[in-house]
Parts: sequence; C-alpha cells; structure tokens
Amino acid sequence: MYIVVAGAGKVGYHLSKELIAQGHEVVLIEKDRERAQEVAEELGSVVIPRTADEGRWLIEAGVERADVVVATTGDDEDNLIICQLAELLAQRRGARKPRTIARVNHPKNESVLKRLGVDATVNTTSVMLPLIEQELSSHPTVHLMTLRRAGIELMEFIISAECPCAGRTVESLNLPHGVSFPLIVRGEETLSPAPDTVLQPEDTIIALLPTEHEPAVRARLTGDAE
Amino acid sequence: MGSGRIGGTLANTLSAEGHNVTIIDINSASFEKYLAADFRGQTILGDGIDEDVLREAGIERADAFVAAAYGDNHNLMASQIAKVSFGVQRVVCRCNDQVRADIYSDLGLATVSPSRIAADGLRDALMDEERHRQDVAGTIGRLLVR
Repeated sequence: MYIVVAGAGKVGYHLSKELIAQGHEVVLIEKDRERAQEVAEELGSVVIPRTADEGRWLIEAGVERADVVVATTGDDEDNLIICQLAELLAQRRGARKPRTIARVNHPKNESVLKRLGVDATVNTTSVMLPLIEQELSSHPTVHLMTLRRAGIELMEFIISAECPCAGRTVESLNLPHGVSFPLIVRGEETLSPAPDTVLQPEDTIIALLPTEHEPAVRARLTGDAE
Repeated sequence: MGSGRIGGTLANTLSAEGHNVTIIDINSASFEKYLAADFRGQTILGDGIDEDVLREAGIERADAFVAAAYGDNHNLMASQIAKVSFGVQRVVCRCNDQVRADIYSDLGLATVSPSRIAADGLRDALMDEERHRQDVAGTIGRLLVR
C-alpha cells in the first residue's frame, strides 16, 4: 500500500518504521527540518520537510495515489485538517479518496473528528484504558471493543456475590432494549444464556450493548451508580 | 472564539451595536487586554473546540458563530463543530492561509483572511497616488492656516 504519514514525532516515526518493514511504501511529512533530516537518514525513506496542513505538500507527497493518510501530530485540530485536506485534494484531482486515520490526543475529540469525516481515529487513552482495567483485578468491568459505526460496545462483566444480579435470571434484570448477553463463561464452561438462566457469582458475562445504555447495564449488573 | 486583537475588536463592535455577545478564550488575560471597558457581553474561559465549552457559551441558542483565534486549523475545526454539531446558521471563520480558505469556502464555510485584507489595504494606500497627494496637501494646508 502507499501510505502518507503526517508528523514524524514518536508516533509517526515508529509507525512508519513498522510499515516500511512490512513492505509498504511510506512518505513522511514533518515540519521540523532537523527532525525530518534525522528520520530520513535513519529510515532511508522519503521525508518532506514541510507542514502537512498546507495543501501543496500533501500533493507533493502524492496524496492522490495514497491508499491511506495517517495524521499523527500532537494537535487534534491539525490532524483533522490534514485528513480533510487529503480527502478533498484527492477528490479534486479526480482520484479516489484515501482512507484517513487521525491520532486523537484529547479523548473528547474522538467523536468530533469522526463526525467531521475522518474515517478512523486512534486515541492512546482509550487504547490503554481497557488494558489498565484488565490489570486492576478488583474492577469487574472491561471494555473489550467499540463498534463505532453501530454505536455498540462489547464488554466483559465479572460477577461477584455482592453484585445485585447474582442469583437472578437474565430476564428479571429488565435490560434496556438492544442489550444482549451472547456468552457467559462459568468455570471452564461457556454458556449461551437463555432468559431463565440464573447469574452466579464468578460468572463472566460478555455483553453487547448500545453505548448509551452502558451506565444502566453497569448499574444492574455490578451495582455501580448510574 | 478568540479574544485577541481581531476577535476582541469584533466583540467590542458587535456589543456596541447592541448584539448579545459571548466571547471565548483560553487565556483570561486576553479579555482584560482587548475588551473595551463598556463591553457588555459574557466571557467564557476555555477552548472553543471543546463542545462542553461551546455549550457553556450558549452555542445552542446562538444565531451566529465567529472563529477569530490565531490558528487557522483551530478556527476551521471550531467552525465545523458550530455548523455540524450545533447547526449554527451563520458561521464565519478567520483563516490566513489562502489555500485552506479557498478549499473550505468551496465547502460552504465563509472564510476571511486578515492578512489578505491587510495586504490589499496597504497596497491600495501605497498605489493610490491621488489620495496620497491630497492627504499631504491637506496636512500642509492645515499647518499653513494655523
């Protein structure tokens, strides 16, 4: 694939290095000349020592034949504009639009960037959070995955004897519409729960739920305040 | 958004004209420095690309939004949030870079480039010899009358 990476800071640099090792063709754009020089010497790849939010350097980088454009700078507004410009410039020049990916530094901006047309966002905080949650054994809830386009979360709940749902049937929890438990892990066994399945302490529940119902489901299963 | 020389001056003007103005800036010192003593609007401390800050500034009730901060990308992002997330009808965006200004105005975002306007103004003053001569003549005339 042909990939344009904007920003050769730590994230952009390591990403490019990996992508080149995997055999992809990578062009980097880095506004700091010294940094650009340094990275070019090491990676031996094309580094344009300019700022990526000026359209002409994206054109120089060959944005119209790029499969993917990744904006990795430390400023979310710059990453947004780089992705939007890449898409617009490619379309203006009659090329198909590249897939755009933006690094998000402030978790709040994740949904904003998606709404404004960025195809995918990567936010370090939300990548690390589930890993940390998993490490904290006392924490009974783990975010496994977010299916953003559908607005659905895949979550894991570990039930303890103190949980309000222990000893109750799935049906009796009156779960909000759209919430389902495709799987319960009980000891070595995996069950596909039916409405009359009774939840037991030590059960691990895998739940699919619309994002907006997360607090309600969390409250009913673990007793956390909504 | 943006209480610098440009945003602050605009806020003062709009407030003096009787509009209900709320101004947002990340630096409280900017309010003191650029807002007039008779500015009657509200000031909000925060980042204008933060939807919560925009809500606090009452963007859901706003008839218009102006992004007049220093960074072009910051302004372009805030303007799009105002338009797309909050449906503000009139949005104007300060954008110095001509390429970005053209691209985003093609997409329906009204952009204004202060550096373009200033450069044009200076050029006109420089090239307008008639005005220049009259001004000089006027000044000399006034001096002589005194």
